[in-house]
Amino acid sequence: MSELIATNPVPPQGGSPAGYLGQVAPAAVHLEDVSRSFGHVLALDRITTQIPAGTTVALVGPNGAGKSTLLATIAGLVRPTSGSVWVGGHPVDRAGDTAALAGALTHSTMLYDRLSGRENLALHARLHGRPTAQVEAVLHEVDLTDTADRLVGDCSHGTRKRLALARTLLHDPPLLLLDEPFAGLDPASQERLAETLDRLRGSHTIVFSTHDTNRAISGADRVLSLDSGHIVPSPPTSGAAAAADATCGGQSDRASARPTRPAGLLRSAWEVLRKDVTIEVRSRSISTSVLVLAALLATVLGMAFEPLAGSPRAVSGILWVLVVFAALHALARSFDDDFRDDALHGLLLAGADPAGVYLGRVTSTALFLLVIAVTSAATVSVLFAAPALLQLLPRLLVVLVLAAIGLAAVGSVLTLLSRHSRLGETLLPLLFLPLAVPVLLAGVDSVVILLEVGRLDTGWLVVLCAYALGMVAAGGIVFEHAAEG
Amino acid sequence: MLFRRIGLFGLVAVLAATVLTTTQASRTFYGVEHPVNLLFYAHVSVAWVGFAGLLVAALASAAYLHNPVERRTWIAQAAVRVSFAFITLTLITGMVWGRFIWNSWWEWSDIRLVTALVVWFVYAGHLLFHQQAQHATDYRRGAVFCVLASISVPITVASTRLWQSPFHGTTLASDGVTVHAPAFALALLGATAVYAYLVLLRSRLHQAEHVTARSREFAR
Repeated sequence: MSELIATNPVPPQGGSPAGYLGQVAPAAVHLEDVSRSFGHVLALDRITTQIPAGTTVALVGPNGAGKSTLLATIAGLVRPTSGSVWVGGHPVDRAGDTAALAGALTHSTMLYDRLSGRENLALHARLHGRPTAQVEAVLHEVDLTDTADRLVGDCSHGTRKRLALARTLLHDPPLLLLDEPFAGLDPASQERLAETLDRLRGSHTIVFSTHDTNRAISGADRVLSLDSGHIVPSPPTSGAAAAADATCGGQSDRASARPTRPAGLLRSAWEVLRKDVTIEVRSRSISTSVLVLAALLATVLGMAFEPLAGSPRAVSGILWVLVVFAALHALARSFDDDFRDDALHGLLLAGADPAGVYLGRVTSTALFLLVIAVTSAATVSVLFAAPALLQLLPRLLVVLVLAAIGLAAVGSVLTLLSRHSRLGETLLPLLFLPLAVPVLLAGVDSVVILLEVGRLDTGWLVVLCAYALGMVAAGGIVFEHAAEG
Repeated sequence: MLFRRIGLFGLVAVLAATVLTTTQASRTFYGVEHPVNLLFYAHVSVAWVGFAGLLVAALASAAYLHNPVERRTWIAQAAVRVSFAFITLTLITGMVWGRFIWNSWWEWSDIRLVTALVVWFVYAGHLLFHQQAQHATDYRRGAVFCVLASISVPITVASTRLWQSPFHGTTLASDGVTVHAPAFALALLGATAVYAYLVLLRSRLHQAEHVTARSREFAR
């Protein structure tokens, strides 16, 4: 193989780069006519290239040239508008496809601020299906063994970057995608990172972007220049061919490992639920504000509707007003931690099943809404002279559980959608309330009937069940589309 | 052009239905004789086609999520926009009818009004989302909302039907209503053809906007 990077290769046959390369091992990375636009801005314009296994490639180019988009596209974090991406001979459609094959370091740490470095890495290790002992090894690699118990949000920029690097190396992937790995590091850390990359060079395929031309020339087998989304041809650096000859054969097995999805649906759901509960129990950031809001609303409504105290319809109406406002407030903040530093995409990149992530999030949100609803019921029972509400609590719980699942199921997807709009969370109530109408109608009437005759209405229970099941199923299917970058 | 013929056919059918309705159809519904009863033909036709169009939008959105061919999302968006206009027209004609027959613009206990209003809000949210999307071509998330809405709408209809309504439940099946079948069939056919024409026109507009924006970007 004389050329490490072929910018205009022969078109693949049979839809796979393996067929195109014939007897040669599949390239670690193969891009075929890949374009990506953000709105009407074209970030990548019909890029066709391949990177053989075991080589180190430096991406250079001015800001906005498309370096980060190219790396994110290879990692599966960004879906190409057109064209195809293969890693290790396997097609990449989404972040989870590269979980076993690649580690990606982006401008975000992809870690949760309110978990410690060690907890974050343990979470990623479990999602990758790796023993948590691996965490200590990789922490030692980035020299953070002693400081890894601090919350990531409390760490300095350099430490966060090193933790992100640890996350990238955690599962020892054959392909490393590093977006400006040296940026923001002090000289000692830069030196240490350079040593690490030198050690991995040859045994791993490394693609990194940098603005430092000297580092690109000295640290890479090949420099790939990008400008306005196009590849600008550049000659191989010295020793490139030797590097290729020395490593390609040995790397083919590693690079073409099966792109497994280490964490299945239930394990992904459990890990997300565990993470959400840990963060909320530790910070109590959402619960405190939501419960205060519910108490405030109960007071205001109590003053306004005092003459109706004890009326089943008024009691039920007030209860559901509290639940819905509290749910809206909680949902609006429910993805704060996931979006801060792109932690949600970190989970998907670690191989978490998107439907599992959704299921875990729905479970944690529903649990949270249930706590709010029960607290609200107790408050309404006391303030609005409706002791029957608590006396009938076991039956009321059936309604509240189903409603909480339904609201959490639809709210979780809509929160993601609204976060991707220019209005942000302001849009959430406008999307959420009309879709939540069946739950509200069913909830209000169910509680009225419960208070009046002491039993649950089957018709409304069917509506609540159908809504909860329908929304959980639909949400699980569409969640990854709502969550993608 | 086929789609222009569809539009022309729709226009002719609507005009014919209008003539037939005003000259032949009974103006007495539920024992009350009033010219406003003739709104029934427009109201029901537009409502049926508007709601059926939402099903088209949901199917096109689901197809787009399965395989992102841009034409599918243009059709879905166009269908939502035109359905939204049709449902708005349904609400307006229903309110006008109610004003003269019930002496009230709005009745909360009428399931049809409430259902239409909720669906109107659902798709108003959809249009707002598209308008406020961070990227004009964020088709995927719009499709996600459309799929969720399509599940919510039948459940909303079911839940509103559980309400006890003292007002009309199933207009066409009521004893007090005599429908002029040819006029109604023409109205329905005309509304369907106009709907199809508008959806095709709007999806072509989406396509043209897309191509223009891409060309501008390429020229840069």
